[in-house]
Amino acid sequence: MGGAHHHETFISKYIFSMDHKIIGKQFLITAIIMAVIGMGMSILFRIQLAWPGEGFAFLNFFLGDKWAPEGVLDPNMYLALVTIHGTIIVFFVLTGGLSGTFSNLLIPYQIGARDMASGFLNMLSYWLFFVSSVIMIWSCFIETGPASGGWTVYPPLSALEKAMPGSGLGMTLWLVSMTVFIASSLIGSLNYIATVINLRTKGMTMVRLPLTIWCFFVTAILGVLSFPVLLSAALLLMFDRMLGTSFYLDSIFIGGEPLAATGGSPILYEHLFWFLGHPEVYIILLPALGLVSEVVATNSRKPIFGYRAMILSILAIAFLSFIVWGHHMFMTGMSPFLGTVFTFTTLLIAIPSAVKVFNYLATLWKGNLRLTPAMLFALGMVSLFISGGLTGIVLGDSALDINVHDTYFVVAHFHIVMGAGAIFGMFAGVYHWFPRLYGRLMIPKLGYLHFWVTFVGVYGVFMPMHFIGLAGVPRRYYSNVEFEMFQDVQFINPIITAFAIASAIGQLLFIFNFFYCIFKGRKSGQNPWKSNSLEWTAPVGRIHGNWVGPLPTVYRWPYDYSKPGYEEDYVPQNVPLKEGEHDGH
Amino acid sequence: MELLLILFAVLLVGVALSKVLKAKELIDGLKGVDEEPISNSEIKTNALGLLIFGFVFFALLIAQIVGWDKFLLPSAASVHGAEIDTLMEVTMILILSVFFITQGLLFWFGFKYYFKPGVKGFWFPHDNRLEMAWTIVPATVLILLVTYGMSTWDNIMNPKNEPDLNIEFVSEQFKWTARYAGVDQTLGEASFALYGSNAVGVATKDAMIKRIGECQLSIKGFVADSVRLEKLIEEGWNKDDKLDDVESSLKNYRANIVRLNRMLDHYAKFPAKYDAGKDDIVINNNVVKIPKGKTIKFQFRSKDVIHSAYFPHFRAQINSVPGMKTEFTFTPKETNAEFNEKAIKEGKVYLKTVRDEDKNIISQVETPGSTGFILLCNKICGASHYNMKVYIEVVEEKEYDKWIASQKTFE
Repeated sequence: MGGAHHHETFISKYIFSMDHKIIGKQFLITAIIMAVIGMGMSILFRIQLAWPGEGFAFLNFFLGDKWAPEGVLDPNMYLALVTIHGTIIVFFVLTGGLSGTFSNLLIPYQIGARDMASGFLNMLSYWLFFVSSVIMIWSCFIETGPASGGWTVYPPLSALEKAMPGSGLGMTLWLVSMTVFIASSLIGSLNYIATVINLRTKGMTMVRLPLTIWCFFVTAILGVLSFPVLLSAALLLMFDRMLGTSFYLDSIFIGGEPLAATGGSPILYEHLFWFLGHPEVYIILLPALGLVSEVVATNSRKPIFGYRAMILSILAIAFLSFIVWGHHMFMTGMSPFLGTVFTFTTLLIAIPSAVKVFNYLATLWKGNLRLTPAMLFALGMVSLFISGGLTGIVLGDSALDINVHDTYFVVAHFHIVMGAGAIFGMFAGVYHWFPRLYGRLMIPKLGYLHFWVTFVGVYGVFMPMHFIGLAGVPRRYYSNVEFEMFQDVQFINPIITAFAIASAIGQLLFIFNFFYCIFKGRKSGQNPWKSNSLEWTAPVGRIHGNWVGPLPTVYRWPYDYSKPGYEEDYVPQNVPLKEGEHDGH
Repeated sequence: MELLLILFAVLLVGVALSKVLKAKELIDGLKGVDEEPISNSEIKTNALGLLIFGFVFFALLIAQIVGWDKFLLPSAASVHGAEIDTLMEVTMILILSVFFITQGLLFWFGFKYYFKPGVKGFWFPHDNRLEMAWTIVPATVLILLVTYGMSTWDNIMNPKNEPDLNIEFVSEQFKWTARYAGVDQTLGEASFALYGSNAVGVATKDAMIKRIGECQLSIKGFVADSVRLEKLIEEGWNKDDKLDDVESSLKNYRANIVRLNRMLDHYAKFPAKYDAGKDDIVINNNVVKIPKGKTIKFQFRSKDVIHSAYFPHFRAQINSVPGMKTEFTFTPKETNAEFNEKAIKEGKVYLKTVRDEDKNIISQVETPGSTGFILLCNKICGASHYNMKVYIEVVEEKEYDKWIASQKTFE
């Protein structure tokens, strides 16, 4: 299909496109919209936490008299916002948005393929993602409010309409949306796997793949193996809600009545949920780490240190991520022996993570660091990965988890490592590959400012939050001042909210920069970052099939930066080896 | 301190806004052709930024660790809690050291090796010995830590001594009800089939018979309702939803009677299990007392959704799950007064808060010491999740004996 001319209408080109580049952009822009919504929700509930019970006219403006009478957030709406914020950020921004954007954009480009293995499935994957996003947003506008049982939607709270208003129609829509989302994710993942396995260009062996591709590939495998389990969990929950089964229900007395449904167990749901839930953390993190690896190597003008060790770490993390789910459940009352096993496997996962961090540091050492906005975000991501990873050692240790489980310590931990960490990876990716997406550069000054506001903001929000957790304050509390014992840490909440608002406003810099530069940015040229990987050998602009003429042939790994014997400090993958030269690693 | 941080945040917003306004100007300036996408002076400025950020970040973190320690929980009020505290200290020292070293290197490298034109990076693609070292060292440290952690966990979750006292908490939206095991120190059988006026569903024979009567009465009412609704529907009224509700209630109550009759059959075979409930003591109050120095096995059941029983001062937590009994055993080692004294010695403070009748705060004074012990809900359970608590008073054994003797037994 290389240079063949297709007849393209507006609809086939931009709406129902089967071209991986357009689909990547579709995912990215949808994710940006979802991220703005998710972030906006967090500001609404942060206001309540900072100044509990005080009225704010704009809360009333956004939520109306029912959910914010006299500008005071309703407790049920607080829980709804917390739930939908989590769902949107975890699934729609960091799973769908991150993998969807960069796997689509980079897999065909970096392996030297003309497109994905199946353009049609790729299109279907995006449109299912779109439909699920619409359903999730729609669920916020119904009378009883959206799902409110936390993003993990544990039954029986989520199974019983009488337990809370959000467990009515809102919960049904949540489950429908997630079912469609999972279908989208599975179709996408299968496509990524098939593409990486089958469509690598001549010379592109597995150990010449950029680490981005390794990460996307392994992420897709994780998704294919774990999302079906969430799907079954969601289906069983639907049965319990609609068909009167009791997979998750037993001995329940609610609304003044003992329910007839018995014999199930809510713990079963937790096992099924976290069997996805933990790999999910790495479904989010690995693509971010992949993007960061590429950005760090390119901008350090140095090969990534320990390429093979990096691949082994990715594989080790992926394998271990399937046998650690129980650390979310230490306090459920499951057998203490299981707690011991999951503590062991969980702390094992720190080893490959540590290797990755040391390898990044070694890559930076004696480099020639071109601190582009993308590079700063990549360094920021490494910093967040360290901070959040280390507190994971506390939480993964069952004995310590007893006293910090479900407190703000956990909230701080996962927001740093997989929330902000992955978002930083995504920003690094957007700034770095914007020229590949649009043939233009984003404005660097705005990029720098965006980085500093966000970096200071993230640490300003989440570092103090650890202390609230260590003071014993549980998460998902509508107000932290009901107990005298928590009054003394309440002064931290306005600080956190101030940083949250500042960094939220700071995102306007990015949004402006992004959309403005799509049309008006400076032309970038073909390879603005002097990068080695194949996407920069393709001509600027969007053409079907990516390369004019034959596909490039690969002769070397992608990290020949500052290689001795070459005048330039980079050697693209399609440059043949000199006589007597060894492939770099 | 907090004022400083808020000012800093406000300053950032101000800078951000002014820069947005300047954006257009900047863009116009950029239209001239430049060779490199990023200028060297920008790189240098940001390299300096990384260094400064590193220093400020470390300074603020240390300031928080030192300055906010007085707000954190005092050392544990239970015997096993001391083990957790020591493990936490060891872990914290370890992770903070790694934190300062690795973050320090990150910011330092980011500053030191910023881009200089014409310079090449150092060709250093891998080094097996180095990679070995930083695999084996973390692995060794983590295995030591994990062994320590696992043995602590095992000691806590599998207590060797028989408990001196058995207490049960039943959770529901949005309160806890306690049941003490009474003289025989055995909690009698209980079931959700008996909830109602029987707060924790203690299943003595009389209670079961009484409950069957109640259920039959309810069924009578629902049958009448359903007849009435069917008639209305025949007349064309849109009442299908209500009829569905009534029918589901009928189903629930009928199933419950079957369940209760089965329990009565079971009672005939094992009466002791049920009779043990007769001397149980149900405390329907948000203050409960427990004796100091006694090993207490707490058992948890839930009526409706998952809750979590969290005793922050005792370093104890376990979920309360419908359909399951969970348990956590601990030994309180200090009375409220002793704990308060210890907290003062440790330099801890709390905000003594005075409220008026409408719960508005009148005054707050930073006071040395600690507020009393508390049992919180720590698993999202609905609208009032944030306010589901029981105050716990640890008292000397004598006082406890007197208190418990003055409470009413179940039958």
